[in-house]
Amino acid sequence: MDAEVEPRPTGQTNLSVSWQHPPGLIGLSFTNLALRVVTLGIYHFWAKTEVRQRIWSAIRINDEPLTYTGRGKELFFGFLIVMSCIFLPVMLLVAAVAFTFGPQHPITNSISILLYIVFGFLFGLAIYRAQRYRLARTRWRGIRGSLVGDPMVYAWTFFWTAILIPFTLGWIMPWRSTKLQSIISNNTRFGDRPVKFDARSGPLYGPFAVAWVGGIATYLGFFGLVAMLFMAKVQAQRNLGIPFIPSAREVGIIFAAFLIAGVIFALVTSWYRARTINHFAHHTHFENAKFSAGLSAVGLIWLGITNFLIMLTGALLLGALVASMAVPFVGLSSFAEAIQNPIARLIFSLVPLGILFGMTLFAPIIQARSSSYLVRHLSIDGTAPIDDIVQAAGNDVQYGEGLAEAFDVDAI
Amino acid sequence: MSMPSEQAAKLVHARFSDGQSARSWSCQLLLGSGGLEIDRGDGSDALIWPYSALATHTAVSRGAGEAIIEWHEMPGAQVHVRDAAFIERLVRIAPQLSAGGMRRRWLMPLLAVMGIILGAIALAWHLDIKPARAIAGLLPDSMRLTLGRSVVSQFASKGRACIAPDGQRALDALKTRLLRDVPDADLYTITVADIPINNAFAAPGGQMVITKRLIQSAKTPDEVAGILAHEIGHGIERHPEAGLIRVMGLSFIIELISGGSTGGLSSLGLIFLQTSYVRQDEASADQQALRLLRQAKISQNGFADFFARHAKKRCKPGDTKCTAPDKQKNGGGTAFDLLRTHPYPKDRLKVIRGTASYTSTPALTTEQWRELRKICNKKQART
Repeated sequence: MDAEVEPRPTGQTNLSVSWQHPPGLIGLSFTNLALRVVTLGIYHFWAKTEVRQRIWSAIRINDEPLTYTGRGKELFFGFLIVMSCIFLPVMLLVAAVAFTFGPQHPITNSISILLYIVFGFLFGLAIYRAQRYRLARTRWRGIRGSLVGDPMVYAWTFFWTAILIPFTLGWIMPWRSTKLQSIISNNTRFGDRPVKFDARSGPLYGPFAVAWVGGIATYLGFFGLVAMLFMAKVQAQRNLGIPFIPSAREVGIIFAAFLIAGVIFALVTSWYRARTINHFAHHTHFENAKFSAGLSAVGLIWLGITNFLIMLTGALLLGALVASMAVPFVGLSSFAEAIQNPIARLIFSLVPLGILFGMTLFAPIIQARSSSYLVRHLSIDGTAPIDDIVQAAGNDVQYGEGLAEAFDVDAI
Repeated sequence: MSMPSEQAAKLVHARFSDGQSARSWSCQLLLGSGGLEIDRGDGSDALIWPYSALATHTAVSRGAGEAIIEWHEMPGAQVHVRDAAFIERLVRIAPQLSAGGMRRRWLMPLLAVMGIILGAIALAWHLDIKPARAIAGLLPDSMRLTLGRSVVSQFASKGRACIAPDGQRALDALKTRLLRDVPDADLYTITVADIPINNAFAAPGGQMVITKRLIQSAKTPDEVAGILAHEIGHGIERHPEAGLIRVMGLSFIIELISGGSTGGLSSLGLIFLQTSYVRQDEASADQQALRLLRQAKISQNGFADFFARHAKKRCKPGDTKCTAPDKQKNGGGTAFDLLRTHPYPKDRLKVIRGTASYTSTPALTTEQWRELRKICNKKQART
């Protein structure tokens, strides 16, 4: 295999991208869980790092893996810095103002509005800084990526376009996502070479219109159907002074209609999402190579459903595991009897925490599946002068993703 | 560290990148005596990377078919090797390359820190140190009052606050009697609110609200005195302030231990933790109430009677655990027990009825009691 990419000093090399599924993710899931429990959750940052290392190494360019060089302590300290320098002071400020002036005082309200604005801005900043950290910690053949440019430009664009979403009834979204992607992609570098992105939002408006009309139609259809089925009965009962309480069959009908509406809505929005990603990929270039992607709505929905079921399995598994810890104290008695025991009560009160931890139990598998789907549907066509690409100077990022962690905006 | 055997010392094909450019070179690896030897085949001297200083960013798992090895003295440089047997031998010599080896490096210090934190928590638990209450005790009165008044104004806004003068005088008399030996008694304020609920609650800064419905539902002034004593108990213990501080602190801790990625379930966990504290606070406020009633020479029976009647109304038929203290062992619990903010009425009754009796007089005269019940005949004007 190595002979295939024997270097040519100044020539061009064909590029290809592939996915080689990382082994041992189930074992890693349980190891990470055990260490998170032992460390009261603080291991989260190291766990995340190890998962990334596995996922990055599964992504191959010309059959050679990417390397993730980030460290758990960078994520941990980044999070601590943001929590202690931004979130904790803000919490104390809000509390102090509320305690001093009262929760309904105009000064308290003004500060709340101001904080919403500041956090709205910080959210965009978090996305950009997280991406910058991840790229700075991504290497291929020892050459790292980077995200240049001013994060403030992205944060400001993210902020003002978000404000316009309700005023434009959402129609700014194709333009907005193209603009934001353009800022990130055009500022991305591999070594000393830039990535180029030249997509326009125009081609996205057709799919968006379908998704928008489809979404509204689904919404109206669902409520119209429910109104048509039950309005007459509700009105009749109201005239008699009897409150309307739906029967089990009627609840079933509403639930089924909701489910169908949900599937239709997911289909139209996923179709738009897939078209957006494909469009962006199609307009992304690196040297003489061009990306393309073939994501589909069905593929995205299937991925979403199966990932949700995997997450649910983890949550139920761990919830049940925590609950079963009561068995040594109360035996296999009924819940009504078991809860009389104080230790069992304590254990049962920890079940939600078990479910909480369980939701992220199989996160390595979920994240690997998502990355796998994306990479397997991505291709690169063309060449790049790989041997001429050199390491870019500077661009070192000390701490990682504190803001993104705090806002929970991170995808992987 | 063991030295490589003669059998192991064989050449293996790999690729070398220098970290300066994306070019990679075909090379030969050898497990040498001084370290990993890298022969780039260009006539230059072989690179020797000491085993103890070898590193990787992707842990080498057991049976791994490939590995990327680095040396911190040559930043960015790496060797990409695909030979399972060679990798296994290398990891045996340089165990820090394995997942376990990588974790051990920082897991021990992390576990030591966790041990210290857990020890501190256990010590605080053992010594009954309540940080939220301690912080609440440091809040200046002006801040507590502002917040308390603001909370009260939500329930007893203008048009709802009852201010009939004779009723107000009766209420003041009861308040004075109950607060006789309470420090900072001047801070405490009781507002009667004409709102459609049957309840009473304490806000920060000793601000209390009791509803018209509760006063109307009470059979004797001693019952109202018992409820007010309980709310004053919350004020003395600074439970409302401590509750706010606790919610903020618990939110922060949950965010910290979950890495800020808990989503909505953190709120659920918070509710469970918080309700447990609130149950303790209610029991402690009951103890304060009993003390205040004794000092004011008001019978605790009114307090007990109120709970007994309340329990009969609230408890579902057949819920023996709710109503009958002596049948506890036969009763059944539910998952909702965990969500209760107050102790069971039967538990509270047991405590109240269990206190020794003392000489007492009615909380209010017949005339005062009549006026208190009419306090909502006049309300604060809307502005």
